[in-house]
Amino acid sequence: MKVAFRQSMAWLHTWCGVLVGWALFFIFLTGTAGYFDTEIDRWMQPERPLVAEAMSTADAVASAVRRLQQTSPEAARWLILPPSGRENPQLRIVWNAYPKKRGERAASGGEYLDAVTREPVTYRRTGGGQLLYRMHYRLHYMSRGPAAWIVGVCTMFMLVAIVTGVIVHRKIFRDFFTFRPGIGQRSWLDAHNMLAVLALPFHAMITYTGLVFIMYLYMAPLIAATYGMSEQERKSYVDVMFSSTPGAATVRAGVATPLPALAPLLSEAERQWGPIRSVTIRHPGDRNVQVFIEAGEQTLSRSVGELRFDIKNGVRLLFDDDRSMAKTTVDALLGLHEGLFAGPLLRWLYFVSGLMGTAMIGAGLVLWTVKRRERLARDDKPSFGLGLVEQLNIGTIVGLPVAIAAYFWANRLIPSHFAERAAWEANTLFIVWALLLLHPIVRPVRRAWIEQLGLAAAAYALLPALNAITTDRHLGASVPAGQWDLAGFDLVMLAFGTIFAVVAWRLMRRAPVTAAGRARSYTALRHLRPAK
Amino acid sequence: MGIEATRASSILQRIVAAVVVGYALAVTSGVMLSYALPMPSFDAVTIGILVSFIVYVCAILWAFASRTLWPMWMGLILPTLLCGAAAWLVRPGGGG
Repeated sequence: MKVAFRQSMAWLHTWCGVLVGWALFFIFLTGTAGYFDTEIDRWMQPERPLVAEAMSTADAVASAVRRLQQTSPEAARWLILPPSGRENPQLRIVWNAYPKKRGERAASGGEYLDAVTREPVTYRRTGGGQLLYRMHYRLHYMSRGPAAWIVGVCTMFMLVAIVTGVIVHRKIFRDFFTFRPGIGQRSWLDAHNMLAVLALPFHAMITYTGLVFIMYLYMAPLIAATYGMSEQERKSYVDVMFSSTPGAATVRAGVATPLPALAPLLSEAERQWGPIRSVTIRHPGDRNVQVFIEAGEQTLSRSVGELRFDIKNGVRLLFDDDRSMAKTTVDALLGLHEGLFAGPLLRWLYFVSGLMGTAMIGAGLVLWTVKRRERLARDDKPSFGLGLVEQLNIGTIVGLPVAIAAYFWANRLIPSHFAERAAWEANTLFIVWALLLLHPIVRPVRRAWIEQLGLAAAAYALLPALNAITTDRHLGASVPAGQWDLAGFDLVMLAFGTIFAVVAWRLMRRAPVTAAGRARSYTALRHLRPAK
Repeated sequence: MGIEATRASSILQRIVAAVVVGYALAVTSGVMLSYALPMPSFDAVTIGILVSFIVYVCAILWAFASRTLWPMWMGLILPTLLCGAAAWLVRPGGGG
């Protein structure tokens, strides 16, 4: 009974993994890159000053308001993001117009302002790290709804794979320390286990919390049971779920009124919580103007200090506002997934855990093929399924990382005046990925692995050199200036290049698996297997 | 039926049971919970949804773990009906 149970769970684990493994690999890898989204943004916008000029918050907000009054005095909303730490290294303004008709998408726009001239600066148009991050749930070319469903189904598979994986494993603790390289199937199983067990809490957390983001979509009937069937009624649930500024929004009065003095509000918020993160002004220039100022560190449950001001209610300060227990729980789950609260050390831990999750999925996919290969007699041809999985593995496990490197190459090589350049950066990624998915079809398996790994090594290791040739934001400039966000990108690319090179080199040196070699590995395996 | 066909039918039934009935169980148990919890609507519904995903995972595991097919189906359909009935009883403004 117990054996049968474990077998059925192993079967489920295998098929959950093999059916959506490549999609999960994509979701994990691009999501992991997202933990350094603003650092990637920064590298992809080399026009930004090497060292940002310091700018006081009051000064930044005043310049932003001046600029917004020139460009969009009639806006429905202004958003001002003064330079503040990791998320907003540069003063940025955004405006939203009033929608022309009800339900229509309103026009909006935004710019970065230079710290010295206070004039808008133009960076090359790029999707940046934000695009990579958004890919992991929007799948780039798809519209939001279908993408959410596909990602959601894959996430559900992942959740089942994690639970069944834990059930299948008897020796969680021993797997922590077990890695026996170089003996074929057993090594891949060890690698898969070690990566899974080391970061198991992360894998479970990130998968479950990932579902929470779009749970209102997957469990819509559950919302309808309480709120009602119509879309309007269900939306009232979603509005509460994602609201960060509860409280009734006022409507425009239509009576022109000068903007309230912002400086005292800013210093009040700053005194309470610390650096200002954002200033939102609804109905600027109207009598019913509302001002929201967010300040201080973001907590795990996505709350920050907030100051609200409107004519009727005056100034209100909120920190741990009146969120209910469930809302706080949801916010904490979402916050845990996004990791925006994380400092540098924790952010690296997120990043490394994400890479381990990606590698775990990759190792699992390879394990599936190695297991079936080893069962084949020497001259048997692999079945269509095995061949397909092998090809998809190469084109995804190595091909996707190369495609992401190609995205960075495109950022440096597409002329900055080319209007569609941001779109073509992303197109480059997918074109390269498609080519690398096709490449293993025409090459023998082993050669295809070696060739793509070699390509990956070159694509990553040469990125810092490309950066040095095309810009003056290279390691020679960023390291002396102490700009570690910028230098860190180049250094991590070098590290990835080195890793790919080492793997390619080792695979090249190793003799192709022969019957004799296989017999040797099994002898070694018996030798290593712990005594019962 | 041959062994292969029996096996294919068994797998197909389990997939349908896991995906469709498992989802129904997740929804009905979630609705039951959201009706039964003495909380404001938003909180009750949210907790219902958070729990429903875990119910879904358990239902999927059951669909593949149960050795024979009839208990597998019954193990999913009966709790779904029970949760549905319980939800009906404790629905807001209902008899409960």
